Amino acid sequence: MSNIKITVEEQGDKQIIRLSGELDASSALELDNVLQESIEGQFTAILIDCSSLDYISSPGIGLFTSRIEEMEQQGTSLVLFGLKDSVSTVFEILGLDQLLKIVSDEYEAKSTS
Amino acid sequence: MSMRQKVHPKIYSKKVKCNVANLGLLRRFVTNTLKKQQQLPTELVSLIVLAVDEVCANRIIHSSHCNEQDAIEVKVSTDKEKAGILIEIKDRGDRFDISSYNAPPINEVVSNRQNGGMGLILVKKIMDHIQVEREGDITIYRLFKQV
Repeated sequence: MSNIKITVEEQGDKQIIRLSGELDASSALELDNVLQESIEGQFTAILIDCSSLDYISSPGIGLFTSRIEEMEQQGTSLVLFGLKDSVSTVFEILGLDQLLKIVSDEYEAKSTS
Repeated sequence: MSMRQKVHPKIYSKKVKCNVANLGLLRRFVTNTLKKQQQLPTELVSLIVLAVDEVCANRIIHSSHCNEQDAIEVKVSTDKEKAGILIEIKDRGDRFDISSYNAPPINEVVSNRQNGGMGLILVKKIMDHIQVEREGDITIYRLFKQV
């Protein structure tokens, strides 16, 4: 049984991917497939709702960092929002809070993308 | 004459098959042990659990190649002498010495899409000391965190 629940919502030219549970080496592949489909959808922005995400490890983070270039090239912005402290700390330790666009909530994510 | 009995630290251990689906079980085991038995603060527990998860995932995927015939064992104990937590991770996978691995800068890891490198950076940043030993066909990772 997977320990991640992924819900995808389309809102105009943006797509929101809502994550719930734990994103680790066993569940990263599931999100990988969803994220790839979203990128192929040519949205102007893909917003990742992390407000119900309880855990993330490097395979999960790698899904986002490995696609930054591709998304920039096709003009799709990637924004993560609603990170819990325990999740946000992992990005900070790696210094990725400077490389990825991370904002506090959905409103801010929509207005900055 | 008073007899002083040497008190051995209690060791908590969990063994699972080498399948990434079992990483959650190992995380919950380490979390519960550190919170209930060692009474460490939640933030510190989360970091140690992340480091253990990264090593275990790395060992299961790259050293044991997800072979369910193999097992991985995690032991948690207190090192009173050094005032810290000692985590031992044992398996029969290939040897890879993280302690001698020089992690590249994060920008390089990102541009080269090296997810594995990111996990090792996390382990090195979180834990205070990492030691890797080989005993016969068993590889033992010892992760130490001062508390």
